[in-house]
Amino acid sequence: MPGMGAPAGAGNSSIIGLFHTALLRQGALILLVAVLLFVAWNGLRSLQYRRAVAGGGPLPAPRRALGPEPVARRVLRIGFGLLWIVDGLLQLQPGMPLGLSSDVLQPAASSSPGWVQSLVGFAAGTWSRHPTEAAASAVWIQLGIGVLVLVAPRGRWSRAAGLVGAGWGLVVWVFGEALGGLFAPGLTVLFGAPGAALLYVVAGGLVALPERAWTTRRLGRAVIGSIGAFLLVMAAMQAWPGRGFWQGTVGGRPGTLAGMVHQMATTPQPSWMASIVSSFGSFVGTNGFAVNLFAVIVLAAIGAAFVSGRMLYPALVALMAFGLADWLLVEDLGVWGGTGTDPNSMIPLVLLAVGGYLAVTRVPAEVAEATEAAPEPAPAPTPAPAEPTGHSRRWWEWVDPGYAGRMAAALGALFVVSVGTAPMVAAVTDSRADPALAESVDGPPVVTDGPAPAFHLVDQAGRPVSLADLRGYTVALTFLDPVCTTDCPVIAQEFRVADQMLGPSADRVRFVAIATNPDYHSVGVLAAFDRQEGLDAQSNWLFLTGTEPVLQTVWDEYGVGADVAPAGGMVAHSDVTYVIDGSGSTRRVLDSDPGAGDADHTSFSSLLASELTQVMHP
Amino acid sequence: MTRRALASVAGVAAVVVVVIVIVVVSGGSNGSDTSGSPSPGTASVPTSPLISSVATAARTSLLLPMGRLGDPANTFWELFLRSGSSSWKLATPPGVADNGGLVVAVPSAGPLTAGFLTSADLTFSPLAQSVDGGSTWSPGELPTALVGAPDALASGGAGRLLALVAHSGQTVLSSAGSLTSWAPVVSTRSLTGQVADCRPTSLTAVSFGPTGGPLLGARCAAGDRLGVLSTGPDSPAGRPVWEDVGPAVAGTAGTRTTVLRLDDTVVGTAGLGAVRSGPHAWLVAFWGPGAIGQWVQSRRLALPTGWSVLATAVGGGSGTGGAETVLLGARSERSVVQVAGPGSAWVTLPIPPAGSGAVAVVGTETDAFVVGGSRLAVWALASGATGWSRTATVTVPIQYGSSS
Repeated sequence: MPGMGAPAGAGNSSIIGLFHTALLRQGALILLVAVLLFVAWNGLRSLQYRRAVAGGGPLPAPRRALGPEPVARRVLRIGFGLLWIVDGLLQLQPGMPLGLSSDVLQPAASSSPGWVQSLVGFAAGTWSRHPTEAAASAVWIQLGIGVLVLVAPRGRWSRAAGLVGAGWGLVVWVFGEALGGLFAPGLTVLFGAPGAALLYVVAGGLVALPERAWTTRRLGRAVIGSIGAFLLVMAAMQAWPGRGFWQGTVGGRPGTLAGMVHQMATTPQPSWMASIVSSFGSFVGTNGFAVNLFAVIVLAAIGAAFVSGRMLYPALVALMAFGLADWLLVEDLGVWGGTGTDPNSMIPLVLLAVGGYLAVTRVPAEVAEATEAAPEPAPAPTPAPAEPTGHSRRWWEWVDPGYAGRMAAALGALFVVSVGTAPMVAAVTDSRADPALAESVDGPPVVTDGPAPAFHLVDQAGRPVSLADLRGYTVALTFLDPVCTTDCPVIAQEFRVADQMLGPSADRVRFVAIATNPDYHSVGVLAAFDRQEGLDAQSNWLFLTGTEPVLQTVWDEYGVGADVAPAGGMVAHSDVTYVIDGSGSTRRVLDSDPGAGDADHTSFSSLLASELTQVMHP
Repeated sequence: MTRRALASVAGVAAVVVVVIVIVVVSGGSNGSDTSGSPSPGTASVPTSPLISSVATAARTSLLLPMGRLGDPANTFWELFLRSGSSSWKLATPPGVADNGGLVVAVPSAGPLTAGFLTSADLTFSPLAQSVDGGSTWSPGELPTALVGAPDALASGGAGRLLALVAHSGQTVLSSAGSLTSWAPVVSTRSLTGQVADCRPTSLTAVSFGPTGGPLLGARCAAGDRLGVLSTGPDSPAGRPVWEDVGPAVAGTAGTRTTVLRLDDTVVGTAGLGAVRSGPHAWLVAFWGPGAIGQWVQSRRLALPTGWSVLATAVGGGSGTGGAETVLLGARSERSVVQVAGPGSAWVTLPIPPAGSGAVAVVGTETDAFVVGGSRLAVWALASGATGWSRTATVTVPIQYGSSS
């Protein structure tokens, strides 16, 4: 009803229920595959055991064909693997399906240039149209990447895991973080520049490098030097005049930095945390200049040390302390509010710096060149046990069980990623919104079967039209106020899109609206409405009217109220759509109150087109 | 650490210190402060607010927004009418959400005609007409959107109507009396090149002249007279030729003018113009039959820097009935200035009540209005009085949320 719309909020139980159902369905599939992989591995071990018993030889044991993994790589791999898992778990939050687009994606791009907003708008639109599939996909993709990175420590599987992580991180950085706000005003490392996901990309890229890259200090120097240069640039930007970071307050209101911190404190979170952040915001408001001066000096000093390669350890310790403080006091841990997607940038930044530092200071003494290709594709055969007489060796009798286990785990993790990727790709390519969105706003269609009340009215051209004239057509009948400013134009557009969705079948459908305004229902105003909505050229569209008493009778018989609001308000009327079959029976009743956004609207169109099709082809 | 390494660290540190010192010194000043007055050279000519009032011999109308003024969906425009000694009565036409605004044509005799400005997804303007002083209304519609100006609708004799709509820039439509059948009169595009001494950039008001022909207010990009456009003798091709018949203003090169109000009153056409010439802006009231050389102008009313026109009222007053009243505002300060009619001087009335948002003239009394949600406080200033007195409070049955 105009004025009484109830858009689906992030806590919509219907959508959350569908989200959980999707997770359970996909989770069950993943569990099944995990069980199969475990059974296969166990079967392999059983075969090896039997063979060993039969042959009297030893049971093949896991081998260590490689030297130890470079410690810097291990730190990055395990650290970012765990971060991916944390991010995947954060995606489980019930507010994600309906909240991510409006609370995270769109705000992230709101101050960026138009082309960035377009990129993010594409992702936000996809997410909004298919919220449950997209949210469930994100969970599995990120959990899968995390597990893959953790269970594949060496070789090609591990490098592939790094690439997968870098690839998904890039997707998140571009479409989810609006390129980290690089093109938006107010860019500051204190609030997450250049975007946490970009740091995941860098980490993934490092893990994907050939292991020989970790055998010299060059890689570590490059990492540390790059971080140092980045921090120097950030220090300069933090200090740049006119960006508002030097003022604690401006005109009695919080300055840029204090305002950002205060805004973070308003995020729903435990009160003690909000209190800490809010107190720091007040502190920044009072001591804005000093706080910014401190930040600039620290960033510049760490950056200078990293770039010069001197005093790395104290600089790293300083970065860890500064990063921890910023993560707590400014970034507010990054995980609150019901739609926090990751712990923000400071943890991955520090992790990268630690990795770079270790790559400089803890270079492996010697890493065999052969490690590159050795482990996965063709592990070296173990010393062959004595061949039983008349028995040839099979692959399962000598394969390294450690390698087989890791490969099974990696395959499982890849499967988890693909379980998430497939519906995400389907969502991206499907421009139709999930009908569940409309149902979450208005409830499911009500199935009925009874004669539709007859009417005798005139259309927008003044020609008489009765329900009997529409026999043989499936009719979508709704009630619209031609001078309504909000819901009715939206419903009309939903009808227009449903007509397009039906394709050739639309010839057998009549989209009918009956004027629902006691004052404004002339043929002229109906025609003006049609022109406004681009419906004047749609041949199967009828906007019907009559005298007020006749209309009142029709409204009553269809259970539609129409109340004139005083003092400049809009006429309040029911938003309802009847689907009437070719014999004149009402088969469906849909609440057609439009939801909050475009996705809800196309969702209703999908729902209406679907219901019309079902009635046409029972 | 070697000497070379020490030199390297010292060099980097020196560069960093220099950079920090530079940016700290320059950042210490408030570089982000962009507040302050606009430079005179970029100032624009004042525009006419929709909050307005018209007084005729029969009644005074008042249009103003009420409700939650910071929330467009819950800001409702209300029409109040007052006749003679009666009190202000709500007369907002029903059936359409008027969050976008409302305009009304109030003739001395004949029906009232109101037009709804567009808002949200509504892109054409419904109309409403009342023959019983706003008690009941009949519907109508324009094919497109009314322009948001207080005199975008005008009614003349025999029920004739003029409407200023947003089409081809702005277009003037006319009707012989029907609220549903409209014919184009002229548009800003067709005026381009016709009125060289005005170079109209937009039309701002419509009215009927003394001969019954259309009289249009315009914003002029050039010229030394206010843009009041009227048709002269037809061209050889039989098409009407438009000319600027507005009152002359003594401007300099680059002077821009706009007509804020143009109404048919008991003293004939009454108008209010704004002029911007270099750093100076002023208002001028004018009255007359609508022909070159026959206008009577008020003296200039200089518009102080930072002050803007918040509301206007035309008609009534202690003179001949052609008073023009302007509510000026600068932040929370308010001032009401009034010129009683031809030959009178601008007078600054006593400071109006805090929060005043509209003014109207009823007979010789000037009223100021303070909106607080759905309550309208009416303050009156009798002719010659030294202070405002609160005379009434009107509660309007606004239904919040009814337009969303």
